[in-house]
Amino acid sequence: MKKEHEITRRTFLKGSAAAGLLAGIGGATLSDFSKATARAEGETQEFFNACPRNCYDTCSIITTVQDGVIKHVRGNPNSTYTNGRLCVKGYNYPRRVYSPDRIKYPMRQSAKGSGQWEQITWDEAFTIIAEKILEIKNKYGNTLPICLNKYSGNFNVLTYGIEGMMSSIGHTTRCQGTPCWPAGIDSQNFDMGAILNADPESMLKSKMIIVWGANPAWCSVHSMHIIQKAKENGAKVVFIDPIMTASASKADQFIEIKSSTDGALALGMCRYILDHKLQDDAWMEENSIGHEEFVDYVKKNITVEWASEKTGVPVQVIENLAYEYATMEPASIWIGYGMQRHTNGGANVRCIDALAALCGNVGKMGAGANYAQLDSWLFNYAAMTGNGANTDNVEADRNININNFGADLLSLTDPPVEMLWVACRNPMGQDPETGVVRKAYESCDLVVTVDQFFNESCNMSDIVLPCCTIFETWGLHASYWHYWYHGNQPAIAQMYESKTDVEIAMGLSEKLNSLQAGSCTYPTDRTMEEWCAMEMTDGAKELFGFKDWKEIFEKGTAKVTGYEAAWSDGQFRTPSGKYEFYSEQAAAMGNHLLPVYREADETKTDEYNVRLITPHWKYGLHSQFQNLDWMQDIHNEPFVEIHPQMAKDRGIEDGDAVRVENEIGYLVVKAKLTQNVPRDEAVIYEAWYKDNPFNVNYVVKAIPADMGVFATGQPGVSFHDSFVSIKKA
Amino acid sequence: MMLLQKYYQGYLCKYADLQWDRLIEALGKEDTDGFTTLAKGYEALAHTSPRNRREMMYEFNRLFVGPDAPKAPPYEACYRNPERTLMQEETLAVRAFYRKAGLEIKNINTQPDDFIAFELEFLLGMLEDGSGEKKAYAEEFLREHLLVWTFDHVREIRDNTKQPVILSMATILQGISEALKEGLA
Ligand code: SF4
Repeated sequence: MKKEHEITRRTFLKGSAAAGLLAGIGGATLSDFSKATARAEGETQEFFNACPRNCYDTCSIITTVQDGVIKHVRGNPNSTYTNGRLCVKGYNYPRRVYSPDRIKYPMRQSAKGSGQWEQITWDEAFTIIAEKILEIKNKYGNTLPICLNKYSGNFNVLTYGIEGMMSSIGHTTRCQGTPCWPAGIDSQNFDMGAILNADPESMLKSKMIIVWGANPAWCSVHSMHIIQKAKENGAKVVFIDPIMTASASKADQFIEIKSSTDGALALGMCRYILDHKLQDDAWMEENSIGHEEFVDYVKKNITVEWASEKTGVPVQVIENLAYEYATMEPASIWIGYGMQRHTNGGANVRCIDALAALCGNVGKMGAGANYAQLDSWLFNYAAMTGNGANTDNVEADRNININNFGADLLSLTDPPVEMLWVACRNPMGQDPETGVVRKAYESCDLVVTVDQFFNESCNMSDIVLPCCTIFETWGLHASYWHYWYHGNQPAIAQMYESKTDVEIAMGLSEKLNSLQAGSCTYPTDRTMEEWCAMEMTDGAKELFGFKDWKEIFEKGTAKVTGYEAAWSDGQFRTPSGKYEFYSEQAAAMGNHLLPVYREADETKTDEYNVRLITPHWKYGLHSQFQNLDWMQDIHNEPFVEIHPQMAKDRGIEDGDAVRVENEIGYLVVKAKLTQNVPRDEAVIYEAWYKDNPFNVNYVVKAIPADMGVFATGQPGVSFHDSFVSIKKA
Repeated sequence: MMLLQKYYQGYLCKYADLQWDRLIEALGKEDTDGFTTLAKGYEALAHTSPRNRREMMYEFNRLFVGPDAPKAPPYEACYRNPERTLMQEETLAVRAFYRKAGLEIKNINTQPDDFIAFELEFLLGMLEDGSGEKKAYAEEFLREHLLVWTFDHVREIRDNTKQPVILSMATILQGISEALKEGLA
């Protein structure tokens, strides 16, 4: 046949002089293949995974795998919280694993931001990094010029391997603190001695639920489901927010409040409750200190009318809300993270805590001032623990504020930072004041970023290393909201040349020691499974009734019990052991002794007079998920939400390009007119879009919140206290 | 075809000047009679400068490897799966084909089976074997897989780069695809 002849005759198709030259490089033909193995066609297996994102819900996932390939993911029904469902982001996971955009190999850039990338081997990457570390150590006698910036992109306990690696080299510079929630953490530490929310599933027992500054319909869908169910059971559901969120639109009542005035509303309610003797004196007498002083403060300084003026909430509404809250027992308040991202955020949370305590709505089933918890994080932090080489000339790590990362790093001179390691973070996208962060990146000789997808932070790095997805590794996961504790097992092989953080730590440790024996103490001889086995505490095993940690994989999840009602034992973790209306610790940190109203320090000017709120987006989590194909299909364009009245005043129409600007930068973005936002405020959801330079943080200032230093080392960021001008572009 | 296979595996990214000279000389001797696109591709490659060849790597990575989202991903699924996602039925169909011929890629599931270098290598293996059965596999594989997407891939490369070596290699891929297609016709 002619065609057969034609195909095989031509030398360029199967063999030639050129082929002879080429045959020598790489393997022989078919060396990348092996004999097909026999396998049972169609057979599927199931594995337990956990969503490691910085999300209230921390879902347990069941992953179905066929022939080594993920077919689909679903929520694990064994956790009554996850309850068999994931959110829209979670269902996208297979797209994340199998996106052609994944970072696949270690890569080196010729110069930051040049876009000129060379593929290197892991060994080359480890060598470049290890040589730099040793050079730094030689030059300075310590490794403080190495800075680690890592946080919440993945909360698998094994991602702490990088912290462990750093501690195993010596002392380094660390980005300390947390951007999202520190002001509220301090408040609850002052008031109750810890953050400790009731099991969110207990909201089903509440007669009234007030969600104060949170948007669970987008950011905690499983809690939203519980709230909806409670509502069906007859509970009254109230949302308090400056924005009519998707959650608020499903409530019995939505109360629109002026941003940052939440404390005034809580105190106004307290005043009404006191005037009508609805407070729980017996509870306060038994369980608290300082209640007399607090009552006195409210009676002398607060009126409902004042609260109404501050908050923009009508007197009648405040009175009704106060009456219902004090009488519909048990009532649960969910204090969201959004409302504490202000210069008075911590003070506001303390006022809400006080409201709950005034009514004795603490320690009872279905009640509580619920913010967050870390009690269920029953880990040994084995991967995180590094026992330094102890050969340097300094005593401790050097901390800088993660929330002022750029400026803090640039201010360091003795010694300066020469090398930056970024993992589980995208500071160029997510930190306030992007322009300053860029300068910090530029100032470092060597920036190493570990990630799954290329973003602006990778663009400003010298070396990018590919890390595994949760489907390719072991792990243990806890939530900061619910009390389920999940196991994570490898469902598929590690794709391309991706490694876990612990494997990267081990590889670097090995390289360091081969270049200079004893220069790193991070163990290199454990498998990932062995590392994981070290992480579950004995307490957790006992609680779950496990002899072996691997029993977690019978159901994929187990519940840390005893928190159906938080503080039901009345044993507060404050110095007095009681609920502290009057907190010496708060005062010692420069705050007021009592939960008093504190005005926000507004940076509003005549020119920049529109408050900009930058909440979480529904199809993404910070800079994760929005880049995936399914998400792009649904939505792929950033926008600023403004009220039609504001638009009219400025001659802006729906869909117009507008310029959002302030002292530190500007961005041009499409206007979306909606009455869901306040008349004098603008809303831009924080997100990262693939192939789009949009970044709201060019106009978000790194203004510290009032609290956070006590429990987290650094103050929070007042993400919602930046002011801008809005003009038609 | 081996040229393309090694190219997509990245081996030419760090090829020395002398190696390039020898390769180009050898390619000049190939019998391209009647295949004008292929001849054009070889010629274009011969006309690239040593500097072009040395600088090819960055553009190669930008188009095919990363770390940024590759502009012309070298996987069959990216041209056949409506969402350009890997390891879906399109990739698994390639896997099934290899298995039909008694093969599968080593370290299966760590790389997509439909990576162009694997597809080319498989085809080369079938052709080099030369037996009637293998030749039949080769033809079927071309019809069902390789030739279904290489032309789109070439187009995507051309839309995204001006780098002379990469463009020459795209022309060579097109030329070889045309030759194979003609052979099947
Ligand atoms: S993002 Fe949150 S709700 Fe969605 S799957 Fe992950 S943990 Fe669950």
